[in-house]
Amino acid sequence: MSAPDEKFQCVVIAPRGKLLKCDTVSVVFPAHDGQVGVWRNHMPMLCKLGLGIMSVEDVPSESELEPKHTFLLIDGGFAQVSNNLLTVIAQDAICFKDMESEKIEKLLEIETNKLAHGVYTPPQRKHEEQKLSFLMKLAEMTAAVKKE
Amino acid sequence: MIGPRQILHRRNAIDSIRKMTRTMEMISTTRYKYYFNRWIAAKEYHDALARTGYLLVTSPKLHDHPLLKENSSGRSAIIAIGSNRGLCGSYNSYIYQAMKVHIDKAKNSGKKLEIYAPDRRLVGLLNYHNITPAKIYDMDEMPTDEQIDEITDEFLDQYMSGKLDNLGIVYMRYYSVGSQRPQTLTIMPLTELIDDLTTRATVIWPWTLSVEDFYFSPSVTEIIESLARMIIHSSIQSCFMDAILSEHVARMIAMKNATENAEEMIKELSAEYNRSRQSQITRELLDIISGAEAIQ
Repeated sequence: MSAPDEKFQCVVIAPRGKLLKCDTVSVVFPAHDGQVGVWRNHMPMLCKLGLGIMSVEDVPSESELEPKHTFLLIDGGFAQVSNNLLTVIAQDAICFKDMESEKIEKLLEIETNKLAHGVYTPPQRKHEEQKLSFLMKLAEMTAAVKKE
Repeated sequence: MIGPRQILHRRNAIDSIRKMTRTMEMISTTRYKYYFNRWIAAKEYHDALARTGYLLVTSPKLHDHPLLKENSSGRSAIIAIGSNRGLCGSYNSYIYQAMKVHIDKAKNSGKKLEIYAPDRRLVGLLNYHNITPAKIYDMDEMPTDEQIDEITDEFLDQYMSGKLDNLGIVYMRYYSVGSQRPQTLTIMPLTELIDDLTTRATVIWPWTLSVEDFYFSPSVTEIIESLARMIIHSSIQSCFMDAILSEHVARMIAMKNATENAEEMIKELSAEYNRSRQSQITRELLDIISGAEAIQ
């Protein structure tokens, strides 16, 4: 577990507004070529984003044994790291701050309907299928968190 | 002189108009609030994109990139965003006046100017002035992401292949409820767009870092194209958003004035109706009295 003094700031901005602004100790985001991890004092970086799950680890408090995470579904955009500030400018993003299972289930339903009835080109369909698989993964993670 | 029945008929007609204008005012107020919240929420996204764009255009590695070079094909284009519906005052006339500057400028410099417009009220005005748009887009009040992507791809490809010198959007810029002005936002060349956006942005780039300090993934030349697509997409979207907000404000004001005028007319017609009705009663009474006196 990281120490609280190793924190930095994380901001996620999407066309619908600011989705997240918090202090964090570590972030893993989906870059265009795989997952990228960021800790405090990361070198200045500008990275293109792909489709995937972004995980933001909250600053641990003394009462918590396990670190808390905030998850986001990111779909394209850019991540910029400079001066201990990570800014994610996402083309499309959904934030699951408290892992609301209802929200994920609703999104799963919408996405499944979209895939079943929507007209897509093959690359678009592949993209939507990938999005659906990430949502299913998030749903599984939510169920696991609830069991604990 | 008009009889009380005609006055009543006229008053009822004006009352129906008043109800209609009041409803339209309320619809525009609701839609304005909805779009205003979206406009406020999206502001930060546009600012963040502009800051990142600024970082890239200062890169010496990108001087020769087709997106940052100036073309000289002699062809320019403007997208003119008029009002979606009527009854919004001089909205479209203002847009036409702003467009006229570009038309005259192109005529004087001997350049070709193509006009693109969404299928809205402005197209009728353009036809009246014998201006034929190069393309009319069929789109919703607020275009979808796919519709904006289509416009972005179309012009980006033209610019990168050197077939287009300049692309601007003529629209009604929204500053506040009390202030909207017709303006042109230069979308391409990209340097001009980023320059304009960073001037508008509330927070500018932290100057302590330069482009050389950054690690880019993928390379800076590959990033610029994706970023340009995102910046152009968001700029077009923000222009449409400004135009819708301004249209609803214009309609709110026009409909408020119309409602007030109708209320004033109803007041005047009610007084006239009462006067006319009273004089009719007096006339009938006099007839009865004079008839009775004649019998005696």
